[in-house]
Amino acid sequence: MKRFFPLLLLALGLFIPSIVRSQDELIGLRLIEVHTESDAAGIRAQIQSGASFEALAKAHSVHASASAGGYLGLLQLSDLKPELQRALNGLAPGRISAVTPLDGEFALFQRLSMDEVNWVVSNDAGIQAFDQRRYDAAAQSFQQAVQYAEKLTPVDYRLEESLHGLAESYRLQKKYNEAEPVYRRYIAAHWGGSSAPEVLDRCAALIAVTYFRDSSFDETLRKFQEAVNRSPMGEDLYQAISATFFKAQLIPEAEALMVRAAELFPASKDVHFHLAQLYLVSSKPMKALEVFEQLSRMKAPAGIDPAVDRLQQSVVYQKIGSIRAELADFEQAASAYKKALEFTPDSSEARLGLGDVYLREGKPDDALAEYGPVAAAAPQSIPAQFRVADANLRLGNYPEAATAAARALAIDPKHQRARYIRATALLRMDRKEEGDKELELYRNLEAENRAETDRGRNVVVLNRGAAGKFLEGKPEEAIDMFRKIIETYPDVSSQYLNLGMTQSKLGRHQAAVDTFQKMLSLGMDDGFLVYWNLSQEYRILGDMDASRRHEVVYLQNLDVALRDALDWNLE
Amino acid sequence: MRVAMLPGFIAAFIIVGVMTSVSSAWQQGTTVVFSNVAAQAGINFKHENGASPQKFMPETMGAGALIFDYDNDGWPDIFLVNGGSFVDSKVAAVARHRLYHNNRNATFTDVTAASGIGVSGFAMGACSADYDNDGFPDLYVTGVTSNKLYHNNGRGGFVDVTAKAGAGGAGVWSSSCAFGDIDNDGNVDLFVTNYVDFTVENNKYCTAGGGVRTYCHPNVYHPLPSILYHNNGDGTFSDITKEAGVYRTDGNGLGVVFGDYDNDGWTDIYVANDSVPNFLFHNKGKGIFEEVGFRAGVAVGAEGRPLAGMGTDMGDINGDGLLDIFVTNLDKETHSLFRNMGKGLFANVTFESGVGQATLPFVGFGAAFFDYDNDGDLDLAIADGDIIDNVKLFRDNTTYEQRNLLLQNDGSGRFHDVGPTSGPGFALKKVSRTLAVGDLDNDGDLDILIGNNGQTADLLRNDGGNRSNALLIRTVGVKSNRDGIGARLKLTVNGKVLLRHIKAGSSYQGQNDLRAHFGLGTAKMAERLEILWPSGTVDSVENVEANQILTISEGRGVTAKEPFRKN
Repeated sequence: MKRFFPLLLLALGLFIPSIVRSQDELIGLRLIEVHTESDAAGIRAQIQSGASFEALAKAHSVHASASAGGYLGLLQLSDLKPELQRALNGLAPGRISAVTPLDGEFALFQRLSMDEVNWVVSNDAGIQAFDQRRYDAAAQSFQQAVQYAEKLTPVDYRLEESLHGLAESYRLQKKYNEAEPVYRRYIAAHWGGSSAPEVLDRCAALIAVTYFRDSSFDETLRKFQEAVNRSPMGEDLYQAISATFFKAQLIPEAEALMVRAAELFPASKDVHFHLAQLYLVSSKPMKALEVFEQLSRMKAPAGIDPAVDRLQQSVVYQKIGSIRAELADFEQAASAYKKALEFTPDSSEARLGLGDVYLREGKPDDALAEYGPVAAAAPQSIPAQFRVADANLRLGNYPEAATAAARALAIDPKHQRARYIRATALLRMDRKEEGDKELELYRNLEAENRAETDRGRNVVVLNRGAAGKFLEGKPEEAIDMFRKIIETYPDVSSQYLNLGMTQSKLGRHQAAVDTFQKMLSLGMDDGFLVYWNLSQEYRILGDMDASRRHEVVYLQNLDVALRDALDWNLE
Repeated sequence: MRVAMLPGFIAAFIIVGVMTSVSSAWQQGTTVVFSNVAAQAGINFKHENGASPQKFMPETMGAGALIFDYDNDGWPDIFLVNGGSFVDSKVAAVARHRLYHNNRNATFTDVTAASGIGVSGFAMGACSADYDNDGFPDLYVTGVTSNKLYHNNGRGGFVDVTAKAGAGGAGVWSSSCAFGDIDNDGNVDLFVTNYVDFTVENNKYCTAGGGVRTYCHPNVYHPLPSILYHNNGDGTFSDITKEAGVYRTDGNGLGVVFGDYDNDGWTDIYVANDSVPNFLFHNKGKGIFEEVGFRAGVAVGAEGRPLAGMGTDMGDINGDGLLDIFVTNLDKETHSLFRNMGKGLFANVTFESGVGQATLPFVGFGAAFFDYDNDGDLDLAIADGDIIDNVKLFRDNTTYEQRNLLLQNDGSGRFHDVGPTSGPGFALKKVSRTLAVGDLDNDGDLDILIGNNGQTADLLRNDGGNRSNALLIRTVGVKSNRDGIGARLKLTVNGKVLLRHIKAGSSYQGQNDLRAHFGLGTAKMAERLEILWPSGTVDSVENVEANQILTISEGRGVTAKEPFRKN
């Protein structure tokens, strides 16, 4: 749960510490601090035109409170330095101060409104009670906080935070009937749409039948698409669902969703980046290239930090360079990497990427000229070190190759490629015993990595085969096969989920419940799907308490899963 | 009319206004063109792959092809291997292999009916050698469930002697085969690569693109040990895989080639394995092997990862007298070129040689080193075609049907893709698998036979290669095996030594014309031809005139000569 702790105002030199006497004397303050008076004036003008104080604090304030939107906490006016008291004297709730000189910088203060102050007080009380495991008290405080947050405009993270706190407080009191609607409301608030919970339910339903592509899959997909089409959703939700689909091997569905998102948010670089990445990892480099190139021509969003924009542009050109290299278009690839370096001359990734292009052109000396400086500047960089080793190996500089590979291995002894290079170099230096030893280590590593890849592949293939039997009208064979897969790979969740789904489709709902519960008892928690399944099965069995209990956990875990999905780069 | 070339091989063909230097003999573009003459030659074979919704792996992995002179008339004939069907027994019953007799006039006659070669299950590849040294090449055909050894009766027919010979395989999926004399006893032995333990009963359900059914990755099955058969000299073979030291349970064998890479007089074996490390079996003497692939640097790609090794060949790409190794892989992996450094070590020169760049977008199968333009160095022809027939459903930068590659060697081991300017034959886009080279019209330049999966075979006639001079050498062993398989031939031309070796089985599921071909460029004579026979005998012939086919018998010298047939 997020917390917003009052900042250490001592460090600010803004006040003389004292004990807060009563809420009536408390005011809430936010601060933006900048270097020049003109900057401060400009920001003040933006706020007066409707811009968010918090957003501008995050973007421009040089004060430690910037990341918290400038929030300083609740304090008494009388605790502030006299000059600040004068500046804030008469400042009404919700208003902004004049530009105020402050220790060589220039400050703007915003006094929180009463509702904001009330929200802070009640939400903090909820947090405190929660931490002390007084969940009933916490729920009461959060309930109050929710009411205050609902009065704030625009509705923002404060409502989300309090809703989340409330939902958790209910859950931990096992008040699932109360928790469930609050969770759904929280999800709607966080993911930017009142219908987000419904869309996500349909998303879960679709993922549950990934392996069972029959008419019921088509129907489930249709319902999901209907829900998406009639629901305004935020960018983040499109990306999170798409990434979740990709992980579940619903590739065309993931792509379709992001294509729609790109249509709805044509100016969103994030959406286009995600779409391009999706195409790239699902073996559609031409489409990925098209979108990355489109991205390279898109304008930067208003207000973005120029340094951030340059970095983003550099990343886009690096992606273009990488794809061009894969397509054997080395001239264009090099050109793209050079363009990336124009945006970010110090980018080691771009320089290494350019070196990789040279390597593929059969120019290891040119590659080394790029790799070398990066490796020298970053001795702990494995990507740089093993590349230096590789280029030297190709040039026949075996001692240098062996040394550079050893540096990479000192950082990561399990680096397969570095191990191979070192073994190869040593053998060519006639250091047979050492070379053979390295070779043995490499071979073990290679075999281990290959076995791991094969294992993942085999699990998918076996699940497909078993599900295929079900689709052929041989359910008992399917069940047998799923059970055998579980025996062979008892630590992988997909076969339990698929077995349970098969049992459910056959109307054996108690058996399905047993399968899903077994999965949990073995400590296998795939994220949210098992809880969704249990919720469905218990509902069918008429056990509404159990159904609601698992539904709450599903919602809780779903949010976490979606946040995680946003962090994947689909790589 | 021959193109006038100055000493030092200055290229006379200016395609884009670039004059190459004296030190570099490679041409940008070429006047040698290849045309597909299969239909007019009477090669009307269509490979039956039995493609089905169940996506049985063998459906996408055939079709073998080989060039061999089965009737010993000096004109290479053609054998094309057929597949069949796992779901339709009627289709399976009529999926016959085809034997085509060379009519000596650029046409071939289908003589299958009289050949005695029947339908043999779902077959894969083939190789040929005179295993009983009776003067007529015999035939070995590999398959998914059974292999066949056919003895050539010398009268245009073959007899199935599999059971009697004891060389029927292990009832598992065999892919390529090759003959070589591992112990120099004068009888060729047989190496058969076995792939994975696929059966119809254990067929797996594999998908791509989020649920579309496709052909499986080999690693969803278990690898199978390949087999080395020792020729007992009495018409029978013995499985000596374990005793010989080549028994491995970790290889998905697809391609194989024999070659003496360390010039110690004992032939070695290179096996291309699919998605697991390749094997290099070093012959320590008398047919006892040690696997040295990793140490030699030929087991995996430059990034230290195993690649999808399919086809393979050995040849000396840079004239240093050492056999180099080439392996075909998947697209994005590049095909691998390993340059022999001597002392048992190889350098991966895939990108440095230009091969990597040229092969990056292609899935390669059969391949052959051959001198298509008769300039003296070995070029490369590669058969390409994806494995996944429905690949377009989930990838946007590749196709099932792909063009084959012709990579021209500049003489120093650097290669350049000249396919787009080498005639309509290299503009074809098909699902190519096997590639075999040979001088089918005896006109002095090498033609190409291509087996395509589920499609008609192609016969690419070389037009223009013989504008430069050449030699074809047919070896006849006396103490060595009858075909001279394993013999190393060194031809000295203008002071430069060209190396070839006689190999029976290479590429992917196929075999080239056994005769050794040398391009001489503008030289009208070679100073010296030296043949190092497997028996240890060394023969040499001085002042060999160009543009003829020589038959050289071990210990006896030239026993026949015939000029090239000019068209």
